[in-house]
Amino acid sequence: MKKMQKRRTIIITILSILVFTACEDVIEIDLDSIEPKLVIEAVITDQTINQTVKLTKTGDYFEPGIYPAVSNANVMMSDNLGNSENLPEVNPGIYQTTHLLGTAGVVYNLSVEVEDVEYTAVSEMPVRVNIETLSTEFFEATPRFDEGYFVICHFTDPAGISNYYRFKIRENGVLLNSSSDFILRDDKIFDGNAIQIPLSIKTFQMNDTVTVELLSLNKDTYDYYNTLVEGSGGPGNMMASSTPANPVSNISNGAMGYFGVYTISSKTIIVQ
Amino acid sequence: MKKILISLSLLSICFNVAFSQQKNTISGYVKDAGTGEELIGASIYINELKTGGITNVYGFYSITIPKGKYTIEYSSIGFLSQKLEIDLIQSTKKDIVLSPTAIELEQVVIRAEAADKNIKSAEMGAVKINPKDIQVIPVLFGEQDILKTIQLMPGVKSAGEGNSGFYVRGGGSDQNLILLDEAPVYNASHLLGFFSVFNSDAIKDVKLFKGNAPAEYGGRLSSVLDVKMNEGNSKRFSTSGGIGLISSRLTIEAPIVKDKGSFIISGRRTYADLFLNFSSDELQKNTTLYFYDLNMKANYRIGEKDRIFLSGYFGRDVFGFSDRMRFDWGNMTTTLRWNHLFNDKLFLNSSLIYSKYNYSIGFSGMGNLIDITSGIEDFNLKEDFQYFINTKNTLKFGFNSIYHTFMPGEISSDAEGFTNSKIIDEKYAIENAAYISHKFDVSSLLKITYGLRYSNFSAIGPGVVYSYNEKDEIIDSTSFNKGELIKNYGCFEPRISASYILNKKSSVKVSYARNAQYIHLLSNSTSSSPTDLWLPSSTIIEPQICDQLALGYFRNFNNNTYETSVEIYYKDMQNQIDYQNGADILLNEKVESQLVFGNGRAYGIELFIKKKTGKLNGWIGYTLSRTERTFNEINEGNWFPSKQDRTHDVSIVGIYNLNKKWTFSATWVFNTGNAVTFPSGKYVVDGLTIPLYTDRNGYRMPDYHRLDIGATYTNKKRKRYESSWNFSVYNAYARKNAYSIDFRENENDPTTTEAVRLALFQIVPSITYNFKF
Repeated sequence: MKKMQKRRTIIITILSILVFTACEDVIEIDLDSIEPKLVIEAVITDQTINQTVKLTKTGDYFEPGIYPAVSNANVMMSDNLGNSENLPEVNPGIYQTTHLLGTAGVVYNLSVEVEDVEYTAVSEMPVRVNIETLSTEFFEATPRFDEGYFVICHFTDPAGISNYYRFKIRENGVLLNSSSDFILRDDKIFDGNAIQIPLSIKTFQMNDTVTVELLSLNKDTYDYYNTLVEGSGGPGNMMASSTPANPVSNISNGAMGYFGVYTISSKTIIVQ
Repeated sequence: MKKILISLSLLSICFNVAFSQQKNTISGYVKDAGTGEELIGASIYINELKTGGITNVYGFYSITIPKGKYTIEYSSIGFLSQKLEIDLIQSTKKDIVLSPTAIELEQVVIRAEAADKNIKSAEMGAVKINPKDIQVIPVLFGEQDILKTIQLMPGVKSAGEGNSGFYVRGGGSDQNLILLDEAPVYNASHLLGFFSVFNSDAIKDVKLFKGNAPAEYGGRLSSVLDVKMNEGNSKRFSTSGGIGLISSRLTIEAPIVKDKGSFIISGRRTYADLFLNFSSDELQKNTTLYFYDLNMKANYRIGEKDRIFLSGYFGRDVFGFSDRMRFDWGNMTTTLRWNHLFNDKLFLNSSLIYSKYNYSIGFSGMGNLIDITSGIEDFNLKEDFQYFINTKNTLKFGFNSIYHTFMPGEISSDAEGFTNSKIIDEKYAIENAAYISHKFDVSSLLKITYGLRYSNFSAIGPGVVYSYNEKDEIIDSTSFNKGELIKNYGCFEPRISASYILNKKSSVKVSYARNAQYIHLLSNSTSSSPTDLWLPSSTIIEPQICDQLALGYFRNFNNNTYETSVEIYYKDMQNQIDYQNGADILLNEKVESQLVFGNGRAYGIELFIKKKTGKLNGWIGYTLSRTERTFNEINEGNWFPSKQDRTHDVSIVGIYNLNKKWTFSATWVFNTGNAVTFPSGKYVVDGLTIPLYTDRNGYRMPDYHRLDIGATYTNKKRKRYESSWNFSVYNAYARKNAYSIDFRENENDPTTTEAVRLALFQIVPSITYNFKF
């Protein structure tokens, strides 16, 4: 992820220097129409007892973004301690638990039955990692960033185990949520350290309120996000991975989406 | 070695014609009268016997014929041919110098010599390019580039817009063996592929084998690109160079001792970044971006029988932003060679070769310095014998031993407790090969070159070898000590090519070759990237193996003015490599668990017509081809077109010599768009619109076509000072060829998605001034 952004920066700079005549335009391309597929978005966190599963269907690529909700499905969550809960449909396509709180070390199962096909997934809640503090650092303008302040997230990585993280950032209450706003890290190069991660997707200005959520992921969820970002980079695009593909999902039977199980630690800072 | 000599004598017994008559040998070197440089592939033709030979890559020839009086004609393309009357009563040494033809003479010179070489030689699937011949062909930014000219040949395709990377007959760009004075060049491109590392001022000769190279070459699946550097003027001091929009070049060459030794130093540097200093934009001002090349070579003749060469290449790309980031990468090669003549028939070249590619990325921020490096390094010993038995038989044999060191990645940090330093263990391997090859003219109609290469690869310790379960988790690890064998692979690689001459104007040819490739490039981008990673074969990665069968029909028209050929080929490839979805190759010791292995096949037909002489000359190449891969893990195991697959590929090159001063040229290329994966559907997860992909490479990029035009104005020669102006326009009709297509949400209306084309170069003019004195 980091690598990809880096390469993109390099390429864009080189091109801007070499190529005076480059241009971007929208073109017409014929794409096949496909049979709609089931999309499952199921998440368990340690922040709520109302865990949500969202069921929709896919649409054709150039059709307007209407994704039909899938109602009347049988949705069930259970864990390796013997608890299980059927999820009632609270809104069209939205199913919710009433008393399930995600707990570190517990293995959760998801089962979704739609039109006589059963889709299942297993995911384990990882160890919770807390944000210790947030700080800011002034940054001069570069080809990628305006002059401003980076927010830096401080936390201690648990030693001896593989940890995977995602950072979600809210700028003055608004979630930064495009594929280029994904910050994903594994502890490959900082296992066991007290670490400061510069959240280098954006520089903030004085008096901005920035909220950072640190998600501790398991490997499956991390892989899903990672491949989701690569796949959305666009095909035929040398800056993305060479052959785009669907994200690696932990759900069986070819459903899109994922069953994510993670902890959330959150802190807010006002840039000063 | 003994084995080779034994098989050599066996071969001699089997194939040699009995020596009934007393025979003598005429041998020597053929050189350029102007510079004293040896000529590669000059032909020697004995009129009385209607037979002859050609000089080897060191300009040496040796012909053994019965006693008698002969008229021998020496000739080479671009040189006036020369006749020698000789009464061969004893073995004779004869060095010949040929004078270059001036351009204005070109049309009248009768090239009796190799004009029909394409018909007669057993060689097929080979392309030879002389950098002098391509000077007038228009190119991007006016930077002459042999790799881009080669892409205009049938069967060779560009890796992308303006890119010097190339695909040969459906193979990947990492399956090309690129040799610079015998040293492998691991990353032949600058600036993400827009330029190649070959400064054409320093290049003497380029030959490309499209997968059916003779047995002396090996180690890559698709092709061999053999580039020879200039040796340097041994007659007098001379300087040449060029000033262009993007870069300038300067070459100095001179004798060390006249006619005994010479040297050449050739340098090139881009200076786009120098202009950035004047930029008012702070961002651009702080950006560093350049590359340079330095080629050096010296040779010295110790006596009649010995000659040594030392050549080196050093090139580097540097990209940086103020003192915050620096990214540099490049190759270094050194070749020490010793030519030795045992006698007038047995020629030996020994080479000691060093080759290295590496990159380094450095960051500094918040008081910390982080440096990431990775690369590959080779030590290489080669012994190549050439035994000129007689006019009908030539033997080549030898061996090659390479010690590879792979440095997959290292991160060093001075920030204790912030980022850990980490080294992915270096990997070591020894690659050996021995070969023997026999060029045998069975009759005046049937010519065969056949040979056998045996290659062997040992991955050796120190190192730790992991094995993985289905979830790519390490389940076992084994440690190996220094020098201990981890895994060994071997492969017999037979090679044969034959031509049968139907009549004076036409011939049919057939060739078969097997090639094995033991080192593999992992690249997760479409074009060549500095961070591509080379890995050895191992317990998990098996060698890639390719069998290629090709058939050809060659015919010349109008007294060899027009050369035409049709070649068809079929290739079968084993152990091809692709990635699992989401593979991470940077600083990952488990990288082997991220790979999938499958098979490939490629087939096609190549048509070529070339007009060699006259005011208007040039060529047309057309390729109809298909190349596919299959992996159990991808596309449900079904065959899918690989990214190199382009159904139609056309190149037209025209050069018009108007008069002594003006030469005009144009090239036009067309190809079917690459096979790519586009989304068919979409859905929303986490508030993001996500594309839904179906078949791998199930769609096509739009067709690509482009016209480039050029003009060269040659100033009147004053004393020794020669100069010319070169003007060119790349993509003259401003076709918006898609460099990439992005699928994304509309910025104003995120509920709709659109396809956005990035087109790079439209009407890029350039001007270059070249000089020589």
